[in-house]
Amino acid sequence: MVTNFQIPPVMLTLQIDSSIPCISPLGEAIHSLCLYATDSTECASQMQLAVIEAINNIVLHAYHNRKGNPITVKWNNENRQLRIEITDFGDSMTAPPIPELAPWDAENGRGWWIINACVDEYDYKVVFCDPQNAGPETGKPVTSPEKANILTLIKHY
Amino acid sequence: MDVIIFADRKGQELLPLTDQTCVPLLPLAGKLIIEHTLEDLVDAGFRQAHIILSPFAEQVKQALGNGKRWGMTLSYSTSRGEGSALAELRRLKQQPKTPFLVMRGDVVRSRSLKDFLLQAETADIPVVPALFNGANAYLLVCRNVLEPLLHCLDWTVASPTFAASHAIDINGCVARLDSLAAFHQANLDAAAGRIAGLLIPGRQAAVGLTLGRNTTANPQNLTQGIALIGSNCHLHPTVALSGEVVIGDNVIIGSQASLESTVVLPHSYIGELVDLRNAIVRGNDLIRIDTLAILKISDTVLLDDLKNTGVLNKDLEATINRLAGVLLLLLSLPLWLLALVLALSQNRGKMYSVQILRGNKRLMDDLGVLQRTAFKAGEWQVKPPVLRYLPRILAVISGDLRLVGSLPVSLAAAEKRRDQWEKLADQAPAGLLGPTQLNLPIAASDEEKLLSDCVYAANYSGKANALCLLQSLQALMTRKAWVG
Amino acid sequence: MILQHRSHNDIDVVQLSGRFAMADCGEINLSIQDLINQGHGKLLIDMEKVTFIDSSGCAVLVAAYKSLQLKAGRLVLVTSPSVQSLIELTRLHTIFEIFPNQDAALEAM
Repeated sequence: MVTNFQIPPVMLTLQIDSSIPCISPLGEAIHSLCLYATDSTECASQMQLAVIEAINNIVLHAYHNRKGNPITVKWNNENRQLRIEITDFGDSMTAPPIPELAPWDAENGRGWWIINACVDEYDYKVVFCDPQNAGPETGKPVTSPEKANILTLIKHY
Repeated sequence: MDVIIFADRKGQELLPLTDQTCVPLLPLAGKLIIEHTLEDLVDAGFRQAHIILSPFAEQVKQALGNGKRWGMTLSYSTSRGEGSALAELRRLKQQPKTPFLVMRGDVVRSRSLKDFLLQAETADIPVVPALFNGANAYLLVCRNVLEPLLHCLDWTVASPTFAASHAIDINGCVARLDSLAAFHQANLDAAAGRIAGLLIPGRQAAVGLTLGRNTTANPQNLTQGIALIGSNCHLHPTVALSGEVVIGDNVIIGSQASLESTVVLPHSYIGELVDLRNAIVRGNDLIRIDTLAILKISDTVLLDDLKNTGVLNKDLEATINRLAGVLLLLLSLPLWLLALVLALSQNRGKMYSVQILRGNKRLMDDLGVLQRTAFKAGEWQVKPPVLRYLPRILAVISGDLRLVGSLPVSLAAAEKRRDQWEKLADQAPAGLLGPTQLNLPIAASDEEKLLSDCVYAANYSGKANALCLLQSLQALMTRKAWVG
Repeated sequence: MILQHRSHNDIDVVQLSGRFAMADCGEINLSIQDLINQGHGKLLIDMEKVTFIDSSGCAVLVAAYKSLQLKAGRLVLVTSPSVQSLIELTRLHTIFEIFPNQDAALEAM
């Protein structure tokens, strides 16, 4: 007899600083979490790759490679769906770029292509938030602008 | 026996067809090119194969999957493309066990694999290449991985050199698909059965006419020759096909288009009155085989127009409607008198007005597109709707309106219908009476009326129209008909 | 990330292991470009033990390929499954010469 023990809906929040050495440990954490939830190394690797590409973009383009800014990653598993929400308070994009493959000899510009291929859905929005919420609990610096960029990555398994 | 399939052509020679895909995924007579090779293998009893891919490798993997559809197990690896077969084989993580079968999956050959294998068994040489009627078939049995004779599988080697005595020459043909003209010809050859043994999908609808599922086409579409049409296609009844024509899946062809010796790739759209000969159509691109010129075809036919023709142009129904209009006019004569009297008493200045509305007659405009024409609809300037719209009976007699139909609208209002759901209402003919006219208050918003017409168009049937007529008799007795 | 370098005849062999991500890319890129500048134009990058690679890792490989092209040299890669899948995802397999293991690669060079 096969009994399928379902993992109950779980939500976890991780937070890192916007510095490059923080990205890899976060990637490993995401990989482990996804592997735990899905039992599929392929799914876990793809989720890790998508999250790392997204965070590379945030560190380089939203925070212009400046340390000391928060990046929040909410990991959520429900109904055979992994949902990862990445929030930053840096410069916003006007819209998520079109996932087009860069010419082979380009040395960057593959990130969105990879994210698009690794997840089933993604969604980018800029929300304006209450500066009252700033503080150590929210991880939002008091001096931050009043908006947050939220990238949501969704993958079914 | 292990099977290695090379499907690593870069596809330069088939541009622009290979700008978004690769050669093994191009269609040939209703199937992907590589599917013909897989079917040949299954037929010869093979149940597994390893495929070496290059450009758009992920698309091939997605299209073929693990091979279950053919009862096979498929594995894949990638290469830079068009490399030497010898080097590519040595690069494989898992070396094939000798003897093994190697072939190209991005050419098409007639189904002669079984014959070849039978003869190859007896040949006592390290590599047995196949010749089909003297031409390199890109197919060989190999007993030694390091055999330089493998180069007859290389795409870049124009004519491999090997002693004919060391090859097996059997009856069959190979389509190299090494130019747009060759691709075009191979499709026509496959449809006409000149590449023996290919499994061609579809059912024989008439002599020479093979149709895929969900396809609407008439036997009279084929004026002469052979046509192979894929699934989910719409061919207008006036389309003329001649010579040999191959049409892929999900293709729409507008009225009076004529196609001769043409290959239409899936998801293409051919407008009205387009005349094609010796061409390949891919989406909106038209490639002329003789000049290799690439043109854009303008899609003048709207999708919904194609669906419309059934509802709007039934001649018998139109005549019955017009006769009913005459009858209704006779019956309503006393009401006309009443309307005249009321109009005279209520209005000093204007007792009759004229509106321009869009009717059901259709004429070709300057661009050659059929458009519904406008007509003049009169109105008595009186309050009771029954009397007010009496002059529209004249439009029923003239054929501009049906007895039962959607609410006629002005040309400007019809122009504003741009969304797909809004256009649904245009699929039904406009009428004197109808659910919208009967059930909605006159003051209802345009959106409400449009929505009601959409529902009517979606459920269009003779029975619904008859019920509507009965309902209007009943409505004649209501307060709404006389007060508004 | 560990980078080991050795020479095999006139071939420079770079062996990478662990994660090949943005944090390590700067240094790896410098070392590889140095090797290309000083070497004989034959470079083998062995990534059989690389567990993770992202687009910045790909960029290092592309930069190495371009530098070697200028020198009319040759770049040969050995990949792990995760490296191979990213290379295929970004369609770079049509550019790079890839071998299943170091021995096969050295033999071919």
